[in-house]
Amino acid sequence: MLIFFGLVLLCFLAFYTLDARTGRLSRLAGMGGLELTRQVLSPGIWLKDRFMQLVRNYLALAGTAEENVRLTEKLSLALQSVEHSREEGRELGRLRLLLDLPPLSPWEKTGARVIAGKFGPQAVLNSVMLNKGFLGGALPGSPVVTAQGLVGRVLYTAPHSATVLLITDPSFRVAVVGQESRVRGILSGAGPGKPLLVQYVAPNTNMRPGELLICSGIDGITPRGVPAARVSSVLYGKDMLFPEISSAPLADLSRLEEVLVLIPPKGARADELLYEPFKDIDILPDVPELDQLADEENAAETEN
Amino acid sequence: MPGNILWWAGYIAAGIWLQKLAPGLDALVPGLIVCLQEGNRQQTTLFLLLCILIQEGAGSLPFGQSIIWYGTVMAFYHIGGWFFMAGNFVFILILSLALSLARLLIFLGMWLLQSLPLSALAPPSDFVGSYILQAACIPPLWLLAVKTRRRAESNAN
Repeated sequence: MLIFFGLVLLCFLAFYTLDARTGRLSRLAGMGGLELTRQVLSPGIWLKDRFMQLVRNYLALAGTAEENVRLTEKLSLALQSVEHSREEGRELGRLRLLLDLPPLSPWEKTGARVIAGKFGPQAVLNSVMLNKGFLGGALPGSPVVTAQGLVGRVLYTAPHSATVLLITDPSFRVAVVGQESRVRGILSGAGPGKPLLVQYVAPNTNMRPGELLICSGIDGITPRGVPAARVSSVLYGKDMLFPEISSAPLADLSRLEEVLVLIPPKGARADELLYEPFKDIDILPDVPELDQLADEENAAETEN
Repeated sequence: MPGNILWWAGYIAAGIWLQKLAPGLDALVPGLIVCLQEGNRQQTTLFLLLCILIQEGAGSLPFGQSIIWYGTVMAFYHIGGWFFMAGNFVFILILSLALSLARLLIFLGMWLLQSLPLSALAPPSDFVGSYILQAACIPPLWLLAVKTRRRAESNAN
C-alpha cells in the first residue's frame, strides 16, 4: 500500500511539474473535460430556459397593459438620455479631432451564457463556466463584463466553453482609476463574500466613498472605461504607507446569467482602446413605438 | 456491452448535472467505488481517466489534484477492504467519512503548495458544508448506482 501511495505521489509530482512547465495537460483537460461538461450541461440548460420562458410569458400576460404604459414612459426618458449621450459623443469626437488625439477603436463583444458556477471538487477559485470558448472568441485573458460592470477574466478555454476568474478571487488584479478623483490604483479580490481592495493608491488623495472605479487600461489587458467597482470605505492612517480602500463590485456576481466577452482588435493594446458599451448594441431593439416617439419629438422640436 | 456503456454514460451525465447543482461536490466518486467493487480493470481505468479529465478540465487549479484525490479513494477502498466487506453499506458510510476528511487535507495541502492565502478561502460555513455534503452524498449515490446497475444487468440477461 505504501508503494501504491508512493506511485500516486510520484505521478502527481510528474504531471504537476510537466503541466507547470508546458501547460499541455491543462490544455488537454480543458479540451476534453471542460468541453464534455459543456456538452452534457447545454441541452438541459436549453430546455430549462425554454420552459422558464414559456412560464414567464404566460405569467407576464397578467400585467402586460400596465407594464406597457410604464415601459413606454421609461422608453421616452431613455430615448432622451441616449440622444443626449450621442450628442456628447459627437462633441467628444470633434474635440479629439481638434486636439489631434488618435481615434479609439471599439472592442468587439460576444455574448455568452453562464452554464455553471463552481464546478466539482477542483473548482476552488471563484469562477464560473461559460458556454463560449476560443472558437467563439473567448481567449485566455479576455475581459468579461455585464451591463453593470466588470465580472472577471477568462482563465481557461476549450473550443466551446471557458472558465472565468471572477473579480472577487484573490488572484485577480486590474488597474483602475477613480472616475472623479482620477486617482490610480490596483483593484484586487479578497475572497468570496469579502469587499474588493484598492491597493497602492497614493496617500493624501481625494478618493471618497461612493466614487466609481473604472478600468484604466494600463494593465494592457482590460479596456479603458469599464466600470469595475464602487468605493465603499476609505481609511487614512498616520502609520500607513497607502490608504486602506475597500469597494464593492458593480455586477451582481451571485446571479450571473448572461455576460459579454470582450475581444480586442488584433494588434491593439488595451490602453489604446476605449470601451464603448452601447456603440454597436441596439439597446432598444424591436420596439415599434420607438420611431413613433422619435417622430413626435422631432415634430415637437420643429414646432418650438 | 452496449448496455454497460449506456449505463456509464448516463451515470457520468447525471454526475455532471449533480455537480452543477451542488458546487464543490464530486458526484463521480461513487461510480469509481462501484468500478472497484466490480473488479473490472479496463472499466476502472477508463472511468478513472474520464473522472480526472472532467474534474481537472472543469476545475480551476493547475493539473494534478485529482490524481492524488482518486489515488486516495482507491487506497482507502483497498485498505478498508482488509477489515470490512467491500459491498457492505456500513463500510461505504465509514469510507465516505474518511474520504471527506482526506479531501479536506488534500485541498489544504494543495492550497498551501500553490501559495494561495488562507484568508481567501470560502466562508467557513460554505467551506465545511461542501465536505459534509460530500460525506453525505457518497452512500446514497453508491446505493442508487448499485441498485440501478443490478436492474440494468438483470434486464440485459
